[in-house]
Amino acid sequence: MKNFKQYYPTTVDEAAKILKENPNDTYICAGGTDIIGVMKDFILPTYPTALVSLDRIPGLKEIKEEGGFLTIGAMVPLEDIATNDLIKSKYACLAEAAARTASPHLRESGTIGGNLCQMTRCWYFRHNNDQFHCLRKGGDTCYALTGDARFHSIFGLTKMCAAVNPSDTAPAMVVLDAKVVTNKREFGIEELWGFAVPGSTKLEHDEIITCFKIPAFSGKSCFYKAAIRKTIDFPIVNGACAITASGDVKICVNAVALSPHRCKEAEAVVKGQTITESLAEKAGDEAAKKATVIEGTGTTNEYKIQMMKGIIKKVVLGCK
Amino acid sequence: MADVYKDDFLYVGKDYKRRDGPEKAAGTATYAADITLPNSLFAKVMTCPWAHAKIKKMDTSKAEKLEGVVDILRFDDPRIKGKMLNSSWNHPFVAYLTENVEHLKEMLPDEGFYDGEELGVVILAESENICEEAMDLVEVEWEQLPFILDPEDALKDDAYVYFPGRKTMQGNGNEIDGCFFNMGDVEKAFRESDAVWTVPVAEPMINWVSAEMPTCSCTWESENLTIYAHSQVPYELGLFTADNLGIPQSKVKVISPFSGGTFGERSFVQHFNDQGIAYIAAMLSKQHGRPVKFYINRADQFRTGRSQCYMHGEIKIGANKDGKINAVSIKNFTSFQRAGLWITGSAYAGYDHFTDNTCVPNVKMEGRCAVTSQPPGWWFRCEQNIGCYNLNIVNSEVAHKFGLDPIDVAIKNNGYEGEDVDHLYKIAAEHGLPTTDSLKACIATGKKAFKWDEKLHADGAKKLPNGRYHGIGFVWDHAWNDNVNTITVGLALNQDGSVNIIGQRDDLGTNDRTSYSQLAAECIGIPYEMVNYRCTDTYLPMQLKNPGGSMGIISQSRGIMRAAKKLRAEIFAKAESLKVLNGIKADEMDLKEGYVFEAKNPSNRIHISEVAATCLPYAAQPWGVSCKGSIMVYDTNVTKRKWGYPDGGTRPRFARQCHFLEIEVDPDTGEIFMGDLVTVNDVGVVISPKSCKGQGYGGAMQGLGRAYSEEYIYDKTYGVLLNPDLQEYKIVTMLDFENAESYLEESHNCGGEWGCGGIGEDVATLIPCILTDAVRNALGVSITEQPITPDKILKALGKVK
Repeated sequence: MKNFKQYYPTTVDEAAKILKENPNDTYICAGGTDIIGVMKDFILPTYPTALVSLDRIPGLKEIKEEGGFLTIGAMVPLEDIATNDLIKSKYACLAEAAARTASPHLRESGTIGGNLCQMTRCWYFRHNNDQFHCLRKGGDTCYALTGDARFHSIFGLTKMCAAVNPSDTAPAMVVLDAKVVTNKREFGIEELWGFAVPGSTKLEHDEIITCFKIPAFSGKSCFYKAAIRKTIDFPIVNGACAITASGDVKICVNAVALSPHRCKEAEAVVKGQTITESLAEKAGDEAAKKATVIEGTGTTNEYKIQMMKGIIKKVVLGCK
Repeated sequence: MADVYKDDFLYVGKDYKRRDGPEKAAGTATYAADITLPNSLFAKVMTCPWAHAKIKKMDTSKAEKLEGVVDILRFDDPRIKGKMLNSSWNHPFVAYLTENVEHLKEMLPDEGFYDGEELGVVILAESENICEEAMDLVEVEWEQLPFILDPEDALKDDAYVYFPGRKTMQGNGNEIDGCFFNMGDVEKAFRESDAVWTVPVAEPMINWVSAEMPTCSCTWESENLTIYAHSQVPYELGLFTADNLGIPQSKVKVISPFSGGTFGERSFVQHFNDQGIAYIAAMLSKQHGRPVKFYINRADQFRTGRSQCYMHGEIKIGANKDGKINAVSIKNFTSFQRAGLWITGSAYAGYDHFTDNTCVPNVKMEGRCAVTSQPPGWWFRCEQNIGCYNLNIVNSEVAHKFGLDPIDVAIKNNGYEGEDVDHLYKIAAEHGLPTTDSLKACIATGKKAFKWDEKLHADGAKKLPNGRYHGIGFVWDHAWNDNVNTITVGLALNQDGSVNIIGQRDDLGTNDRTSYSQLAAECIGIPYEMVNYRCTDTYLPMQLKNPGGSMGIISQSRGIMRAAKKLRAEIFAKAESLKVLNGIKADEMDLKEGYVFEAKNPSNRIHISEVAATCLPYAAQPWGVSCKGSIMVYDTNVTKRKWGYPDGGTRPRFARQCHFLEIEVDPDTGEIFMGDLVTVNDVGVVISPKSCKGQGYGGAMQGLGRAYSEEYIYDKTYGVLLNPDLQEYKIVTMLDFENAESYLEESHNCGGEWGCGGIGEDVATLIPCILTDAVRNALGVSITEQPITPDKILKALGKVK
């Protein structure tokens, strides 16, 4: 690594001020499990000169249920979410998603905010020393399109980028209809992600997530993740389904596009129906109709479409 | 010669607390990578960013101006230009290896032949961070050159030739070697078989994946050099470094402390990550008068380090409905790169598991090995993987083709040199060795532990309530029971009668401090607690066998026994001269449990300390085996097996191993879930049960990784490695398989003392194919190209094109 400066602000405003005054090459550090690796591997075209740690800002690590919402501070460790009795009982898909993230050590350090805002795992983007100066770094090429895209998008390109969002908690937060609260605004979580250089969110440089608000949920929810390894692995595809007591259905899959992918066609199949295996399979089939394959040099990501169908089937059946 | 039979052991076979356990478990063990000597400088090397590229122009001026940069060693610097990785050493042992090793490799060239090859420049600075920052400031204009990733492509007539004019085996200039073998008449046998079919095979390119990275620290005291290195062959590292520096070997001392994994990768020094970092660190340390630490990081190790070659090809099988295999014809292609070893690929291990372990009478092999832009191959995690894989792919294919139990196919085809097991054990009997059918013994133990018969079902016939398919798999092969090599070992008798084992060897994590102490205690006849073994440095030129992983227990047990016999004889002679046992002669004495006594009258005894204290007035007296003064010289008296090696290249192996795996496969996602895993190894004689079982678990984990998740993935357009990290290069974790049990058999029929043999490496090597067998039982489809990832499962199920 190169040497860099580390700030430890004690308020959100102070952190935002530092970021505003340092518009270039200064990054937020939540748990650090992503950004430190980015720096160790010299991934970015210009090396981060400073990190702004949120670790010493009080109030960002709370989990509470009040005012009709479950509020989760942005700096709550993933392990706390995975083991929280309230979340496990009422918001099961989120607890399951957090529990399937990384490893116990990483979950103790990694936060919900960081997990939702992490950069893509695309191996061209992540290659050491900015070897592939791709679209996400200000270049003009998505190397996955001519290379190896076995883990890449099956729902088309976003500004010609084939990378996918690797978050495990994202689909759970989407189906639970979470709201993002920052130092500047509050908005639905599906608006969080988008194409950015080099990040994965639409947040402004000095915008800091303080917490997430999930409407009180009564119903059933389920999360499933398929990966090569059973632990310490990012998803090939993951997904979540939530069916409220009133019958509203939300299904979301991730690691299939640059942002978590809401499967509205699948939701329509399930809504108002008795859940059966054939219905769950049909939901997967509907979701897959708009999927597309990237044929790289000797590789294909076609299997991810089948995997997504299988995962939708599982999470729908999990809400039976 | 070895005492073949012995079953009244006092110390061997007992479980003692691991002597290296507390330090390792507590995290207080010191590894070479932990060592940063006071006032150290740090070194970092550039790596080739492309599959094949040459430096056209390099500007280091900005790096030179960076504060904290101490020195910059460019490829065109007279201090390094022309320096070769293999040194000029022409020792017979080195010559033996260089027959198979391309040694024309500059230490710091200006051209890289694969992504990650070290070249160009070494930065020396006050810290690792400054090294990295300075490297970032070095400006290079690269000339990208043609490259090939697939060895089959490299053999085409119009292929780019990497080293024009180089002597080649056949074909174009890229075919540097290969293996062509023929036993019997395969074509005739195919015609006479009930069925003949061909299966594609592929084994991924893998990394050794150790916890500790290649590293060394060098420091000088006057004219004497000390190297702290993560090395499996510290003696050779010292030899080569001395030669490259032009100083006597006697002035170089190599200390290899606890090791964070070597697996064989650290077992020869003709690579930049060994000789390169040691020589450059030593040279720069001498010049600047300060210690120098050279460290290779994880990403660069993946890219630069030696790899297990990518292999692909096909196997043609001819067999009868009763499971009798009539003929096997293997064709495969493997890669080669400089500073690598071609035998990791096609030749050495492609066919010999058929000739050595089966009664298959007709075997043909065409293994072709070509230069590609992939890292040099090496024999870590065992080069015999392909041999095990080929044998068990065929066993599995035949079983499933005819609806047979793969265990029955194994028993039917077990044998040697194309003849059945009677032929094998006739050889054993001729040499006075046990004639136990080791495979049957292992199978009996394994079947019972695994409940094989209860779990066995037809292929694809068992779907579980959770929607997954259930499958079981079986593999078998010989045990690593005859790999023997030269060692030099001393036994130092202290004045209190305790004994130190003297001999350097790398810590392979195999609990050697405990096991070898048990061996020595048994051989000498003193209590286990009176023996100690701690790794020494190379100042005393005694070295136990490296790589210990393949040949450890067999070689060490024989050497320690030889030394113990000399020590016992000396003790008896001294006791006789002292007339301490009523004047009996030395040949009337025995030594057991620390007492020298009259063999016919055990009550006439004295404690060994009374002899040691009286007769050895100085601190210690080493007694070593007669190895002509150098580890490098083969001492056939030590290494030769009792029954010898028949002519013709085959080896009778009397001990076997077999393993059993249960899995579930999700047909919707293609995921595999591991269930029970049972390993059974005939280790001849169990020295340390704890060590053996630990090796069984560890080997199983490494083996499953090969089958299930590990592979180098290259971008085929740019030839660049895409997964040089532990996130994308996926070694398995304990959660990937949880229910492993290790069982041991003792046939007394391996090559070590009392017939003991090895374990660990052989489990890791044999296990991969078990997943193919289990998946086939689960799904009824054959996936013979590993690793078996979800995309391959879904494709085999017809859910993906």
